[in-house]
Amino acid sequence: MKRLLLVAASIALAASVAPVHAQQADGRLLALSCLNCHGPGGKSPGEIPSIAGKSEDWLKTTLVDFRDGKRTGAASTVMTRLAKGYTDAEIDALAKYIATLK
Amino acid sequence: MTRISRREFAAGVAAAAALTGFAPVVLGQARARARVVVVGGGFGGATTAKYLRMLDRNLQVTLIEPSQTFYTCPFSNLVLGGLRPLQSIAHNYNAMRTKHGVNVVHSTATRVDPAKKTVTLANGQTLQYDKLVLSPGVDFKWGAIAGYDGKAAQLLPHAWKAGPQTTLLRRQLEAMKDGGTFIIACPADPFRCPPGPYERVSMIAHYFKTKKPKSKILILDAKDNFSKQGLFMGGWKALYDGMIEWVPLSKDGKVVKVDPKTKQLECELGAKHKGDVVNIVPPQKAGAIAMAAGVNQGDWCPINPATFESTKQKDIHVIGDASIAAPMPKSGFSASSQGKVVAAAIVAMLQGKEPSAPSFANTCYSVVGPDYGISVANVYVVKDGKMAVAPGGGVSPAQADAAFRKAEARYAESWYKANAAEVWG
Repeated sequence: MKRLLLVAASIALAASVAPVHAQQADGRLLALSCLNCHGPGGKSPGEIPSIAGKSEDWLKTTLVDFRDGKRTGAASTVMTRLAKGYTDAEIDALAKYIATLK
Repeated sequence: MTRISRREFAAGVAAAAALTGFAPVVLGQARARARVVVVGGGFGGATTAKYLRMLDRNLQVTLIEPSQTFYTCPFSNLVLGGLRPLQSIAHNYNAMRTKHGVNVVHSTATRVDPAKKTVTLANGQTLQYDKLVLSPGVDFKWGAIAGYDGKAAQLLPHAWKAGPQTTLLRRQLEAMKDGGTFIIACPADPFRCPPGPYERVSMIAHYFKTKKPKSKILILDAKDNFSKQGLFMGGWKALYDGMIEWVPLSKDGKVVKVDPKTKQLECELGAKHKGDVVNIVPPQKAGAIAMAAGVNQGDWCPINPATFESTKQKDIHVIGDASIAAPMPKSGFSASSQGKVVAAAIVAMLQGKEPSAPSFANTCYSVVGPDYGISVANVYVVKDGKMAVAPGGGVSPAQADAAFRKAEARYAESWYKANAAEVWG
């Protein structure tokens, strides 16, 4: 019973801070495009770095740095261009989902 | 809505009967597993079939593809340049069957009945679908250039569908004397792989530079500008200075007639050119099954970009080169990205849910030289019901240093491996 109340309370809380609607950023769907370069499940078969096994914080910081031009240089290639295509909410959703890839 | 298989349903009914001690009566029509048929085993179709099964293990997915082996257009230019063997761009459907549980049928879809929701195959089979995905790629508009048809392509290869045509063009290049002229005729937009003809020129220039340095390349183009133009031209100047001449539409570059025997080409305003090896990239249209299904409007297929469902036929989705998805280019990467969005949308739609807001991407590398790569990369979103480019994106910087170009050449290799594993693995 106690547990049920807790669940109910957390659902109410979740609903109050993050209303669920159809157009909310879908981290998994957003991330699927990444895998064509970073490899199935985020594990790269070549020189492009893997994105599996990275923390949510690292992913978010890295994407924001690419977007804001703080991470440049030869190795950044397409990411400085691609990261600009995502909103803050989308970067959050991407980082959250990709961090689940182990 | 929860979906249960016939077997699960039957087992459930039997269990209920055992519990109650009563013989089961008809409990309403059991909802069978939803059937999705995917036509075309290229980047778009193979990705869709695989992801449909990854996102919903309960779906029955059938992939129709005539070939046992699929040769990718991406990297076929590297085969022409002698950088890799044809076998390295060959992919099969073993993983599709064994790892993902997709029913792969090697036949050609010849007819679609949108009312009855059936697809008929050349092998005589008729398949019922709940959702149909067409990813047929392109067909050539034979005869659009006078004298150029399937037979002429045995003498003047197109090599725009990889495989035997790639080998044919490579052999002709190998047989050509040093000091010969290679001519490529490029079509007007839209066509499959916009930077492809110019990567091809680069790779053949690399082959000439290393093996036949007195040879020349002439590009006859039916347009006045092309994909990654500044970058390609910068790369040509850096690596192959003086070898390549580009004749745009406005300088009478549009080829209108060919003589396959003499290898003479005639342009719109009368200029004539003769090559030792001639490659025609013909004007294109959506693959035949799109026309048979009635989902085309002219040469290509209009779609709702959020789900890639045809605007002309319900429950038929058209993806990849055949669809009208501009500003997304007709590329393998685009097709695969669309395939993922469509797979997720179909899974949602079959469960009576609203599909998520779509997001697409395209990243295409072109190899100008073994250590010289360039790229274009964009994110795409649906805005006001239309496909639109997200902020940012674009091509490699014009002034990048050698380390950047080298990184992109190496990433191109990695990109190819990842795509192949993501699509057919």
